[in-house]
Amino acid sequence: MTPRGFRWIFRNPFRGRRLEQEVDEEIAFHLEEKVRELEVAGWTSGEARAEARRQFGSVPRWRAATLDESRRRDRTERRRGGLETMRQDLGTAFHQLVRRPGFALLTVAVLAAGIGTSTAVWAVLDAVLFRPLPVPEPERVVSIMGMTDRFETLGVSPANYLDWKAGQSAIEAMAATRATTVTLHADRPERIGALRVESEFFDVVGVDPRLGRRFLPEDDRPDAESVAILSHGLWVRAFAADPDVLGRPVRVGNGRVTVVGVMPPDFRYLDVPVWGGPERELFLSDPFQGDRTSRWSGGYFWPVGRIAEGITLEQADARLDAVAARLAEAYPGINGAAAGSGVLSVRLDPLKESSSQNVRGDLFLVGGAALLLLLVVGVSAAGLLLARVMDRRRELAVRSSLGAGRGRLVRHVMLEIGLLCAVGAACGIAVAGGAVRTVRRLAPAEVAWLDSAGLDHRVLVGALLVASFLWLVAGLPPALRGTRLDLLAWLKEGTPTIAGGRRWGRRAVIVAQMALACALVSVAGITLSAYARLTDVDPGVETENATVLQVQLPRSRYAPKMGTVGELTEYEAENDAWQEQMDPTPMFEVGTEAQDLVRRVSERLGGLPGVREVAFANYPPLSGSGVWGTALPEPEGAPPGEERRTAYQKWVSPNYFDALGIRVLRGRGFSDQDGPAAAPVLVVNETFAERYLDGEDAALGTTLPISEDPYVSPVERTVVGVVNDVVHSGPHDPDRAAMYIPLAQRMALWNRNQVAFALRATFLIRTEREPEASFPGFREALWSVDPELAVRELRTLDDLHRSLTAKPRFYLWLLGSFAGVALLLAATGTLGLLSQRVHQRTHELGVRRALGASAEAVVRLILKEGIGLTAVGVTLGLAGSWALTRVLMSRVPGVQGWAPGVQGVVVLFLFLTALAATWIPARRAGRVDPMEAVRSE
Amino acid sequence: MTDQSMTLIRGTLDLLVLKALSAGPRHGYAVSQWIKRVTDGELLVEEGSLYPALHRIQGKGWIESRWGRSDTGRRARFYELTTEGEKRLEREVEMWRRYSAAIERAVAAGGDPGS
Repeated sequence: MTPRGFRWIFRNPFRGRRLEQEVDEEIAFHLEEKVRELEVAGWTSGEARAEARRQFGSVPRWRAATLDESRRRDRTERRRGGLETMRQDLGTAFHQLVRRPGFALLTVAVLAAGIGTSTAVWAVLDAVLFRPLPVPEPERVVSIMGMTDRFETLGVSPANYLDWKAGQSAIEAMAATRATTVTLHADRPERIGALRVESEFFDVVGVDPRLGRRFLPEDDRPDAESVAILSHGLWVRAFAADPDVLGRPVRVGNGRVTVVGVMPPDFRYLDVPVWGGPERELFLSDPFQGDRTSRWSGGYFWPVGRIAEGITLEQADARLDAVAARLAEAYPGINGAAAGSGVLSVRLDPLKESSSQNVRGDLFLVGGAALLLLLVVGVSAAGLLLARVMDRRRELAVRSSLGAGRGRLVRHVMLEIGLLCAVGAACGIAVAGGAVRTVRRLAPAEVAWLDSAGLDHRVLVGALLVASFLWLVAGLPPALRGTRLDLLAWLKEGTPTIAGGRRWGRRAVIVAQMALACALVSVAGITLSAYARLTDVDPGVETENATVLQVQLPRSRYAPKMGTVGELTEYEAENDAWQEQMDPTPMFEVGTEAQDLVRRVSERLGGLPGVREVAFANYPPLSGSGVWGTALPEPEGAPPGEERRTAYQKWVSPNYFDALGIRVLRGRGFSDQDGPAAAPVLVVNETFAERYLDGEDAALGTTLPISEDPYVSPVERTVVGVVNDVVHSGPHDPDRAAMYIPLAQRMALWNRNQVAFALRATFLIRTEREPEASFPGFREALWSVDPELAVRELRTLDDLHRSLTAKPRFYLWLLGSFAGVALLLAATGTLGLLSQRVHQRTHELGVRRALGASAEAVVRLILKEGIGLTAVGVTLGLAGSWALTRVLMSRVPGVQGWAPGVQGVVVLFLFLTALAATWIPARRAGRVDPMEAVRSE
Repeated sequence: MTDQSMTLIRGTLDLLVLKALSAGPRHGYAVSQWIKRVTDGELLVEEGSLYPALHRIQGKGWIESRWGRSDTGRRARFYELTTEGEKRLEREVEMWRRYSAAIERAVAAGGDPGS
């Protein structure tokens, strides 16, 4: 076996030279021999030389030809040699692994866990955050928003949008989009996510319909007929992929629109979920809806744009900001310094980024945890491999003495580890596939694009990168350290030692591993306990056997227009510009017809078999949606805008508290006597009473000016009762103040922006048994009163409660599995390393015993080291987790810093592991016959 | 160089080189002189053409080379048959015999058709 190693790397550049020299020397020898012979035969030196050349032929020609052959031969030989060495090494590596299947399996499992989790997390992060939108040149597509000192992101009002668009050229195509949920009357009424867009929208996304046509500039005119384009999915689902749908009028809400196109199947438009899910399935013309003049800092438009070629996002942002700055000067009372929300400027985000804005922080947190886990895996694997290499130092020394260079040994060890990594990667990818499927099933629906996560080429490249990273991180240290053999020492003592600082390396690995695992697990534990607290909150209502049936009453039939703010109200704006904006806003009446519908539907539902009670509210509890607004005027003397006294507003039927099991703590609930003619009353919850009314007892009898619509004069209402808090938007509600108004006393007049809230109707149906089977009956009961009503939501209250905690439970599950894996890795790694360390010291321990140390003393010695290392690692880990917890506190609601219980358990577990890892081999070492141990080396 | 000299039939140089080395290791010059001697200088008109052949044959694994000392004490590259080369030589010789005998018969036969 020739010693090859890596030396060829250095030899290579000079190799061509060497071949040349050899050929030259060979030819020179030939010529000189010939000359010598001729001279012996009596030729003169000059003649002999000439004759030799004549007989040889053209020296340059034959030299070149020889060199060619020589080089070709050299190349083939080298290749054959390299392949041969590689084949041999691979064979040996495989043989080595098979000889110790336990070790190989353990290492592969560790690597597969690391590669699997990182790959799965990468797949999710890539799908949700990084993979570009499925449109041409996605990097140029941006979301255009407003932003002020007080609000990070704002929708845009129509007048501002039009001026922004007209005042710049950095964005070559810009379109207003307005997210909405509409009722599509295809087969049965169905609520779907829709997007009203301008015709330029299709230039922005750069995708045209597959069937039919796109919107044209004519469609943008206010008097144009309404047209619609279907997503491919909706076309297939609601229209059975019927191509004749083109040109056909379809009922959307209460109007008719003509379908003019169907988008291609690979085009999907997802948005931050405003109402309902993130997917937009129907594109409608005319986002303006008759309003081109309001100029509020915020608005309903979420415009999108395609940046002109050659312009960066920052440049485009700067140019739009210049336009916005001019507007802020022109309209100081609305957009400028004098407006309540501050000076309005423009914010541009890549469209993909803005569609996943709501989960960005959470996902980065998960990504960080995955990275930490990957480090733990790296260290654990490095520890295992180091132990393994140390175990084989005798074999390596023998190979080295037989002439294998260090390079060859390093390559050999790396190859063996590479083989493990390859198998680990294959298993890891399989694990990741399953994990991604599970994540998709468990994740809350609000995560846009998550359903596109899978194992595509980008993800696989990521997995290979991770595997290579682990290969280097876990493989190089043992390969380099383990092959630095001190042969001289071996020859002298018969024990091949690893040169230089041999104990330090492994101790460092043990400490690092303990520290990382301790940090990760305690941080995960703290986060987990925070999330667990969130999911464990009492909802405040009885959720069993209750159904939520939610509908939206169409404005056209249930809320006729009555006039404008200017005509009907005494609203006084902060300044003239504001007033000017306000005055033409239309007002609507939500009157007896809506009340009547509620009464009749309630009766029908109540008459169904198995139904115990039917209550009504505008919004269901535990749903996260509701009417939220300023409940009370700001206290006298408070700086404006500083302390807003906000609360959720609920209009409920008299039996609402009873039907839902909400307890009346003070005073009374509502009764049928609280009618339109009776004195206006109010019930508030505990938080409201505590926060705004000096406690529950003081609250009763207080009279408060309550404004349901901000533009209508408040009504004086007397607090007659206090009820318990009900979870509203999530287990960690920052603001749970709520007030209840009898439905019969609800205000009739509503402005355009608010009327939709007044038209929301939710029936809460309490049944004898599990209600799912009755759902079709509930629907029929509703449609028997008004067949045109679309069911917005029909689900059990239990289900609603579950989805409310879906997000925390999702992260609970995710972080929990990370923590579990980390703990397992820490345990295996520590076990392997510590027991290996004891094994390595057998000789030394034998000497100690031979010199008279007792078995107990030896065991104590070993335990002391293991516990010492663990203590150092755990201390470092706790320090790390302390720092990480600070970071988390700002990110995860409910994380309250130190959780001694969690940390205590983690520390105890790690110490127990260390104890187990040292105790067993230590006892064995203590029992070994001293002479035997000494001889064994 | 004379016009009457025969140019080598392709492939026969290999045979000659292998034959030259069958008696033991030789350097390039010795091989060339052996070929000249045994063929009365009829073959190998330009001695230089031997060297590309030597390196090519070595690439095929039939011969191998190492550096050594010549009779005159100079450093020279010596070529030697490998086991594979020995087998090859036998085959080449066998093939050459059949080939030359066939040509010989053809040349000796009359030119009349059908005979």
